[in-house]
Amino acid sequence: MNNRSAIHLIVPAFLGVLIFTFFPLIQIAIPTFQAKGNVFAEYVRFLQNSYNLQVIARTFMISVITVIIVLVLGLPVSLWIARQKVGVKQVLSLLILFPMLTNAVVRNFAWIIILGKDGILNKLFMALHISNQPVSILYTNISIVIGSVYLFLPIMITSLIGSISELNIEVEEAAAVLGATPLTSFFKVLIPQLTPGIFTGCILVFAGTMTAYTTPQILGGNRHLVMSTLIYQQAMTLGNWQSASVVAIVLILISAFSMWLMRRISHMLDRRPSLA
Amino acid sequence: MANLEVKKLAKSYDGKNKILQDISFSVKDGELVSILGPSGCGKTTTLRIIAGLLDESSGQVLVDNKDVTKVPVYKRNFGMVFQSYALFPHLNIFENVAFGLKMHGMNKSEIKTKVEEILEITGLTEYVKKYPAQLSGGQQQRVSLARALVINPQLLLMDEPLSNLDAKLRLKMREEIRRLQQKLKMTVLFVTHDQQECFAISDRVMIMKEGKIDQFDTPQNIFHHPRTEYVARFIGYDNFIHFEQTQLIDKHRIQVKGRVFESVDECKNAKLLTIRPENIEITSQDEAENVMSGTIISNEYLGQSFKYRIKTDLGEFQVEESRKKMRLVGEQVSLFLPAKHLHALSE
Amino acid sequence: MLNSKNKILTVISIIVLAILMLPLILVVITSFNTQNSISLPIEGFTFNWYANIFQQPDFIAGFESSLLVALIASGLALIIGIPAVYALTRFNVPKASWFQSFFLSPTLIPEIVIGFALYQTIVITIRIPVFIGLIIGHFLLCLPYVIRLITASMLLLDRHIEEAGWVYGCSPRKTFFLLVLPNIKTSIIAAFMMCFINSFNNMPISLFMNGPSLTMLPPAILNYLQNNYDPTVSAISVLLMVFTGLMMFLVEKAIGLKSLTK
Repeated sequence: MNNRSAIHLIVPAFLGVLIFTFFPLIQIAIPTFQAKGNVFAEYVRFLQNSYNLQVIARTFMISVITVIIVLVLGLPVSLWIARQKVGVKQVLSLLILFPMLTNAVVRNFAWIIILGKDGILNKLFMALHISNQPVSILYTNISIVIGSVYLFLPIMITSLIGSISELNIEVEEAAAVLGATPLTSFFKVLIPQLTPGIFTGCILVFAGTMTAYTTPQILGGNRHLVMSTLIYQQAMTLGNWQSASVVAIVLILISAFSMWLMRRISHMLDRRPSLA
Repeated sequence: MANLEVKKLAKSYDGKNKILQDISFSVKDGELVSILGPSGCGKTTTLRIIAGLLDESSGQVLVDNKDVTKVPVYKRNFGMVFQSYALFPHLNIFENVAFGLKMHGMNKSEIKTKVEEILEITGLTEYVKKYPAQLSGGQQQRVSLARALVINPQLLLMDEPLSNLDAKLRLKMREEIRRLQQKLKMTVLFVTHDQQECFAISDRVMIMKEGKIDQFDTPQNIFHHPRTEYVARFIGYDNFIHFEQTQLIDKHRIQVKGRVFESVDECKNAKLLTIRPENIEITSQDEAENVMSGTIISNEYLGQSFKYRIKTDLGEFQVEESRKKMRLVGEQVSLFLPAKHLHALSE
Repeated sequence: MLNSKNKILTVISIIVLAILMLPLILVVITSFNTQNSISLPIEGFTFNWYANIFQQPDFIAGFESSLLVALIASGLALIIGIPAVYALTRFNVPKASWFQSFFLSPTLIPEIVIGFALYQTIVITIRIPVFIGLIIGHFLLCLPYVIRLITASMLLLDRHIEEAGWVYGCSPRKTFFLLVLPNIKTSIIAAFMMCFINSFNNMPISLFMNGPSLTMLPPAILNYLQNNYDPTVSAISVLLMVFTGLMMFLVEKAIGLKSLTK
């Protein structure tokens, strides 16, 4: 069939994305490059502010730590679920899917109940005499990490279950026959095969945490801003549109660069030759 | 049914690589013609252009002397059986078969009569309410055939229809296709890469090579008189003796490396002699015409016969011999290549 | 072999699964508390907080507008996305993979930035109504799900089915409606569900285009949570969980939940 009839099928989606994603981005980016003298003056000023640097560093650190925890927790669980019998696997997948599809406000709110001053954790600590007065875990970097881990763990598990299900278990059986212990097999046989899947999951979680708004808003409070909450604060609370735009551009650049870097590392580590 | 004529059909995607190079042929009314060749020879491309699924670069397709080259596929009224059957997964067997009739605007009661009739002929009556995924490969194949036959097409095109079936079913289905084709006097173009299959069911066979027709003849003629080494190899001639025109002794005889071979064909202007493995005899006599000696380098048990690879000073030969006991590797043997089975090839 | 019978894996997995479920269970428990603040253990049992949800105009209005926006945006993403996928997977579109990435590109832009940029450009500068801005933002959120899920099933659908349609007298347009759409029904439903759930739950985009004139549910809950710390939030959370459960049940009945995570 000819190509002409195909073009009009693509045009609406193309224009939709172009006009509503890229045009607004350019629209907010332009004013940030119009400072007199140096076009990057706005950015230089932004990065010279130690408070802003602190926000960037916090956002980045929270994301890195979240990815690591999510991976460490997610890997064994997905392995365990992926290799269950079909029926059991379905029920367990349900347990993963349910939190994943539940509203993020609800999921973060749940942690207020646990981590708050009046929360269960504090009551538990005091009952066990671990501490005598309520410790404040809520509204700290730690609570943001906990909330993010809780938010993104199901995504990592779902993603990994997909990759693990594609593996041929006979490869590990071959390793076992050749004398590999389960632990050796895990690090020398399983992980190398899973590298692309692991990185896919990590990129999802990293980008998600970097850009998440709800979790740092609910669990971080006003004193522990990350880049996304900073954008909202600058724009809507302080009415400083230009500054919000600068943060937005910096956030896009950092998350895009991180994702690109992780993808590169993934390709480097994946020793299986690609067919393409 | 109708006759088909293809004139100087050519196809190229980039203007340089020619997938089809000006091929011309015709299929008579009620004839079953197979196109045979390895993948990439252009056989499927030819079929798809005739169907209207692919645009030609140049050339014409005529059906009953009417040019249909520019008629869109959905107005051609051909039947087509696909390799994957391409049944509509969301429609039941009745609806699948009725699809073409419905598209052509036939009324409901007429559709019902026609579909039931064709389901009867193809032995599918009990599956009317089933869906394609509930049927076996062979049954799906039948539905695909029924769907094509019911519209009473001018031309039936079949693209490797049997290649997804297991060996036993393939034999059964090809008999059935031949039976239906003869009963309904259909004009059929049948694409396949299976030599046995196409020889068994075709009135004529067209062997294609690199976008050209290498030989187009009845199965018997091709079998006994392959025109080229390519065709010969394709239909099971595994042994070749190369010679130059200077090695000719007379019209039917050549001398290569001190040995004389006589062929049933004229050797003038030929380049090769060829013979099938089962036509070579292992003998005890050594010095005679059409005989040479060699050493067995491998042996294989085929059930009814043994197959040997034999090294001679004219190259390696493959020989099939029915015998109770297997000959051993290393045994010295003499090969007799009867003149009546030794054919001459010109290219 | 590291399979489901490995003891260490089993222990870790059960703990992690418990951690996944426990917070949600706690929310359910607190929603029945007679106390005015959210705490555990609960002192008495009441449905009052559920009744209080319906006294909050923001929750009612928020639910309605979130539902409406999710439905429209998901529908729009399907109507615009499916033809695009069809063209990319079935026609010889030049640079098809480039277009594919382009259509997925909204996922690379942080949602908060999409919300902010759209609000500033569409609503403030061009003065398009907030509601339209919300639809557009949620459409961008939905489109990648449609592109991804529909592409996957188009690639699995035998091309010869369409060719068979043409051969038997069906025009290309009719073939699309009669033969293609019915056979990708499952992934259309899956895509719709993913769009709907994600749009309905979305906070960052809704946040900017949320105000006195138009309230979306997630910002409304967040707002309530920050102003009154009482179990009404638990109660509405429970309702949202029931809503999620209902959606999952519907998906399972219609197409099987596996289709969502493909």
